[in-house]
Amino acid sequence: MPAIDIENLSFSYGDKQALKDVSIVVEEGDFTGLIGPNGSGKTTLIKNILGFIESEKGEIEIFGEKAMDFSDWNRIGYIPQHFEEDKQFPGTVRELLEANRSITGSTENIESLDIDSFLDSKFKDLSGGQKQRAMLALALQKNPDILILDEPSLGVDVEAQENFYNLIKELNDQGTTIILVTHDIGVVSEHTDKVICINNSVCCQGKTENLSKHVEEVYGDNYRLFHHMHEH
Amino acid sequence: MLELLNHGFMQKAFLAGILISASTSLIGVYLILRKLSMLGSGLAHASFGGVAIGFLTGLNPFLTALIFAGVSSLGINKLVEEAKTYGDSAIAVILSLGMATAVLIIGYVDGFGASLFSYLFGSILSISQQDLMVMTMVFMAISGFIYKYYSQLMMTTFNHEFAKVQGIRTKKIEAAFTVLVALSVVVSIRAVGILLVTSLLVIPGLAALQISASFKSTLLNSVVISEVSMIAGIYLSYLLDLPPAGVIVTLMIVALAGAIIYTKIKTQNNTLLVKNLGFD
Repeated sequence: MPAIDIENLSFSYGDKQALKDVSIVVEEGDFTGLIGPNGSGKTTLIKNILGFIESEKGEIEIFGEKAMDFSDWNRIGYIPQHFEEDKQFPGTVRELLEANRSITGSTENIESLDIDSFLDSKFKDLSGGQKQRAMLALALQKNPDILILDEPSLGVDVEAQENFYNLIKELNDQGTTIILVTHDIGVVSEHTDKVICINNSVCCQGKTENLSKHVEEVYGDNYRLFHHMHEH
Repeated sequence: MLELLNHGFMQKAFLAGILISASTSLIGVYLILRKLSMLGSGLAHASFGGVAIGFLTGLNPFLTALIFAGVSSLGINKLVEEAKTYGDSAIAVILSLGMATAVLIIGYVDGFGASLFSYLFGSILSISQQDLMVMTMVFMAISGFIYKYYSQLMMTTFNHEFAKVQGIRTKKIEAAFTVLVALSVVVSIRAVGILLVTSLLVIPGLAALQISASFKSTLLNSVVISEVSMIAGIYLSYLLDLPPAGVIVTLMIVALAGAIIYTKIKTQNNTLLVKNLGFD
């Protein structure tokens, strides 16, 4: 049974069609990069999967259950694009972890994330890399089967990014299905096994090493730029 | 100050002040962090329509205001969800509806315009036993809800979408929270009036956010700032023969200014320390 199975999904914001007949499959254990240019519908697709918005057409199944009926949230970990909703939020990392633990009822060991040094800092005061690790700790507290990351490296320096993606790779090696949403093709080509490229509809999907030509067509010159930047 | 407590009306005023301060200062922190500071003002103005309906029908205006504000709060949620309006636009619509209702009733029925206007400025010194009972119930509902759903409220305030994936029924939490905002607004109207109710909701929380090191301490400091301003405000207004609402709100603003100055000085000292140690 696939972790995520989407058939002919369409979604519009008013007159603007964000997704058109999108059909994708993410198998359990996959490390999939979901890529596409800005405004291509990547985040909209994730919002549909997680039930934040309701699709106008098409079917989404999560672990064989219809997305809108899905309720076993402990199986899904999610790191949103923008971490905190208010820049004044005074909660510390420890407070967030405690609140999260009481909601999910989880006791998962997250020591490997090395967050002890900033447990009592306010989340808003953390660096980009620390925020990333704190969010990962929150998402992993319930030991999810699938982890969805929406542009997790925005505003994070290169070294922190590398550490972060190594952690994600370790999780995938341990069996966690990963969906990584990004516009950074370099990250995808280096870390993921499979790629789904969308630009309102699916342009291509398959194994990462087989798809570079198709991706280049979608991104044009930017493809070489991103790839070059990542290599250096 | 203890002499003041010999007067029954002052005992009620202090007790009402303590209950209202605790309720509004707790709710206020969440309102600020959800960028809903003006929700309190909107619901207060909307409940003016409820007060007017109370006068018109002969029902307890406090009760009709409570119902009107409760329905208005759900109306705001519906406008945002169903009509896809922005939160502040939805608040403006509901605010206008409440004020228009009040204006129509004042124009239609002669005689109780003056009584209605007393709700605009509040009168904490004329709190009744019945008012106190309602305030106690509202305080218990708010503090009980925050105690029971502390984690859920914190996570939905932190990030709404993340909270949903953590399994929180965000829509139910939001609806219950909005009703509690309406309750806290209506009980506060008796103390400071419709025009100043936002102050009780927003200023203590804002001051607390300046000086607090965690979420829990922000809630605690918000309550302390609100309670001290309220008690000192009632006391000073009696001594100086000034309207209590104005004195209470002025003291809150002084507390906010103090918190901002304290934070600035602390930040400057920290920067200097870092420079002197050669870490910059």
